[in-house]
Amino acid sequence: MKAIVYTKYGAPDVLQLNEVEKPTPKDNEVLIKVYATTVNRTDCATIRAKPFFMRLFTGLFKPKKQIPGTEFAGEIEAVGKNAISYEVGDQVFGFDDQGSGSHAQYMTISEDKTMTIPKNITYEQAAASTEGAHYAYNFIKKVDIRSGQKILVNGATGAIGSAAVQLLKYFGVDVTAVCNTKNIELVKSLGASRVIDYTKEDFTKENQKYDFVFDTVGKSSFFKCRRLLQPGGVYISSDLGYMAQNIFLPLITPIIKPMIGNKKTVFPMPTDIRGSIRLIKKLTEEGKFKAVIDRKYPLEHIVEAYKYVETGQKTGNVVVTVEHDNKT
Amino acid sequence: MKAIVYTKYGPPDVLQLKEVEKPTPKDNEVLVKVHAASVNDWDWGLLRGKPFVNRLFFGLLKPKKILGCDIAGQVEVVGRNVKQFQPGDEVFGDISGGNWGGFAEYVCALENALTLKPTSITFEEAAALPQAGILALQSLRKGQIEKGQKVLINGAGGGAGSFTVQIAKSFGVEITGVDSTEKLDMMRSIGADQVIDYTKEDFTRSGQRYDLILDNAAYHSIFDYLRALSPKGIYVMLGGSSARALQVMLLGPLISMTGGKKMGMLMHKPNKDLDSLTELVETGKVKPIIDKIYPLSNAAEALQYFGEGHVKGKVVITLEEYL
Repeated sequence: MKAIVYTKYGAPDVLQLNEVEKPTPKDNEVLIKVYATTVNRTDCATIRAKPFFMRLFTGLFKPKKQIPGTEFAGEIEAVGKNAISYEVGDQVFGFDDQGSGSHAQYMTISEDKTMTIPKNITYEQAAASTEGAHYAYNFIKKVDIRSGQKILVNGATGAIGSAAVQLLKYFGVDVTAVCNTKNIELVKSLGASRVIDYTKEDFTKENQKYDFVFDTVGKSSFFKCRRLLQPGGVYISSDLGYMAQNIFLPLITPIIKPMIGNKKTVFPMPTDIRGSIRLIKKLTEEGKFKAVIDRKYPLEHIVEAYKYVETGQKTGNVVVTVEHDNKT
Repeated sequence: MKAIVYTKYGPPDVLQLKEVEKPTPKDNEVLVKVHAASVNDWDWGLLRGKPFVNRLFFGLLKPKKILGCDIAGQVEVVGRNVKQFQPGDEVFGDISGGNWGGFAEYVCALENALTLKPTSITFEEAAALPQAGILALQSLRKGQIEKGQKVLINGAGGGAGSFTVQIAKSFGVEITGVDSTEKLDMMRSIGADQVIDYTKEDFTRSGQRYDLILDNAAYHSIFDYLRALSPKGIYVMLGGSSARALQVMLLGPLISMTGGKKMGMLMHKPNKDLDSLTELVETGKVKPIIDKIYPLSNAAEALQYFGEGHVKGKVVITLEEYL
């Protein structure tokens, strides 16, 4: 089968399209014929092994899993002997932040890490529905967010941001979204009640106060956004920030709270992927969630997809389509 | 709110429909407006307070809780620390690890005992699924089912049994279902290759050997089952009388040590693998078999019917307003 392979960490050029052996599912696994996958921020960080401590999970000197990829959608091709949920031909999707090897024509994964795709969507949409939504939903779970509260989302057009706006809308939260001029209409359609165009206006100078500020792109900081928060407000980042401050601030801010107006920062460690996907599937079927897709690349051109994602300019998700000729 | 309460252990007619106070969820609980709840063997045992050990859960002298642990409904209020659910979410699960109380208009359930109900599954099907389905799935896993085996399911027409037959079928095994006369057709229809009417034939004396015996009824001695196992066969007990359970617990390990055969009892873990099971229902490989649906006010009748032992699949109780 065709697969994207890398044997050392580095820039997207380390990725090569190779012919490798089709994997065999273990007892509790299924073999999936991949039709669509994505290139997301998790993938970019994985191939570059940045930040460095990621290597504790992905392999210290070189990648343990040589085929990258996290999100996937495809068809069950074979099932392991103890796998019970699926049979050949079932359509499934999923996401594994530890790497699923989905940048290939076939991949194997434990059956409990996959789910049947929502009825009304394509493989491409299914593949793009999980990673950003999982991170967005984790931050919503982490903070005690309630219907009627106000939130500012910085970076509302990324994979996480575009999912966050839709989920927040579902949870009844009033969303102010920060994005560039060309995406104003898109962000409104996702459910933002107010949009700030960062090319024209500096949102940190705003007079509005919010219960939460969610930075999905790590381009601001707690100190810049502090004055936007109500007393007791929370700053959440899905990015490590300058000098990984967002890992340390949640430890410090509760202690120095009295000095900074009872405000704090939160850095969610994402858990329970399956719970996230279950919610996304339900909302998709109810027409309340739809992944935003920016560009599509064929598997052969995946290096360009990585390079595009690394520019930080993508809107929503970048999909990679996987072709199968009759022989494979 | 309306609830089915009882103040002493006994036959189904101790159950009464009463107006009781609506519960308030604790920080890690959600208040669920019950749509449907299903009846399990455990409810039957707790109703009568037999075997006595059951009373450890509900009160030694008299029952202090409301029955019902398989529920499906809609979240109405969430506790402060609840992260997964919002009011309005449709959920289901087995709440036997918590406070029970599903035979009522409202019930408080631990967040972790519930999962989102897929839109393609009805509330009644969702309520029928958790306990019986999970017992079936976990017993097949414990029994290390493999393609090509000869599998006998005792009590294959009941709640857990009807799930066991369907899930076992997907492994490509040859299934023999054992149950009473009126359930034979139903067992065939869900995938049993052979059926045995236990009122007419004792499978432990037929000379047939099975690679795997899954036992929901356990009315034979453990040595009868031993005889019906192939040399490397496995016996898993899911339900049955406490005397039989004791026998399996004491002798099972000895038998397993001294020969190729293995015997053991399933320790049920509520809701574990419920996702896999839900996927099976969503993809149409497993269908919860619902025999009868009763309104909440007729819960006593539902339990009566269950206790008579003629239920084909599951008995479900539904709130009047949804009937």
